[in-house]
Amino acid sequence: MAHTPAAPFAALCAESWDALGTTAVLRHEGPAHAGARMAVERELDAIDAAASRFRADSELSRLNAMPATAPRTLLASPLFAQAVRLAIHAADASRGAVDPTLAPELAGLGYDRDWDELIAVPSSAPLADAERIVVYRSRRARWEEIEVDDDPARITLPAGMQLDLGATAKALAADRAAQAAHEASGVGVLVALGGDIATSGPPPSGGWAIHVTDDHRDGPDAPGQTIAIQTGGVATSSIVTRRWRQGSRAMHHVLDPRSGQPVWGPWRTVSVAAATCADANIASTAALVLGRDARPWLAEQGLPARLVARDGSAVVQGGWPQ
Amino acid sequence: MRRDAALRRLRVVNRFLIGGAVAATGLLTDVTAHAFTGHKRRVAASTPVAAPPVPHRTAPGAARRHRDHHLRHHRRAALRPPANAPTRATTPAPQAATPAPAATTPAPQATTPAPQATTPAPQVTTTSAAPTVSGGS
Repeated sequence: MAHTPAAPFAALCAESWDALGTTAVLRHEGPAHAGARMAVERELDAIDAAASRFRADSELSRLNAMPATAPRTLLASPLFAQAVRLAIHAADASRGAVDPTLAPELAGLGYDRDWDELIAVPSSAPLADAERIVVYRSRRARWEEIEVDDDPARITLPAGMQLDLGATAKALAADRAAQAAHEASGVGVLVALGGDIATSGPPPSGGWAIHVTDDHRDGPDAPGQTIAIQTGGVATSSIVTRRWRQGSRAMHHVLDPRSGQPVWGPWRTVSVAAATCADANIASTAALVLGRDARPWLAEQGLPARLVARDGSAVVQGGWPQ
Repeated sequence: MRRDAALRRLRVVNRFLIGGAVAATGLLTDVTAHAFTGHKRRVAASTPVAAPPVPHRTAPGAARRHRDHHLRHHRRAALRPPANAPTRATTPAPQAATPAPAATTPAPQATTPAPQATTPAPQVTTTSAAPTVSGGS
């Protein structure tokens, strides 16, 4: 196997803070840039106000709170319309694996409040703790019935439907924040929101160094792999993180639309590189759901990916380095 | 008798002419239909399913109307691969330069779902060559 020499990564400014229930990181060359930081915070605040499921005043919460006995329409901000449109795009591109209409199922599993209020299961806890019999049911894909209008922006949901944009809104925020920070600073920037990484502008010497691992909180020394990208985004989805306890059972946040239950497939963590963080996030989440069908589907999409099996062994494909 | 024979021949010729005209009309219609492809009418102007996931901004005042009603569409959206595949990298990762994890940074809004709009979140600023971490979150 040929080994590429170590890339001489440039020293970069790194600012980090808590946002959107995870860690936000802004990196770029040169000293800290207040304008770039403010641009990122504006975007994160905006997506939180539009698409948070845990804020009663968010557009998403107001839409979900409308009486669901009949179709209902919400006059929306362009950002919320974009977030909903992206969620539909995710469902369509993933053959329904990334489904934005699973909010009732997620709430039914106990994830109906802010993450800090749940009984978290550490990512180091064995995955077998979450294993159980999954009862598959016939669930009709309803995301196709969501309507998005522009000018004026408005969202129409059919009766009985509620949305959860958690799978894609954070990645959209990363893409938008990176672009805004680049426009504000004039330098190439990287924005990371947990597993979702977006870049904009010229990369530093050697590219953007990214370490993929199970849990972003474990840092760059955790088992995993370090790669470099020049443009675009990288996303990692995992079923070992964001787990909580409901009764005696450990749950996690990646649901299988076919069952409405947490995914229990062959992969525990999937990392994908794509032209945008949003596309990378859609693919990494879909791969967890698709299970054994993930590799041919990723190949069909032409996306470089690294898939970690439940036993920790990793396979790469689509140009992802060994 | 000659007159009757002539009338019969004329009747046959007329039948051929009428049949030929009908056939020619059908043929011409088919040729025309294939030569000029038409447009299906939609109930509302629709955007493709594969709306760009990257930010798109509507020009101010643009009289544009989009409707994504996916029962009307059949084209499967595709995800876009990166311009360049990732490359292998092996760089030392100084622990000290790791961005502080959320677990060790007290979040002032832990019990309040409202965001950090008015309260600046605590931050850590470092300069290092350590890679940025992408993991489950």
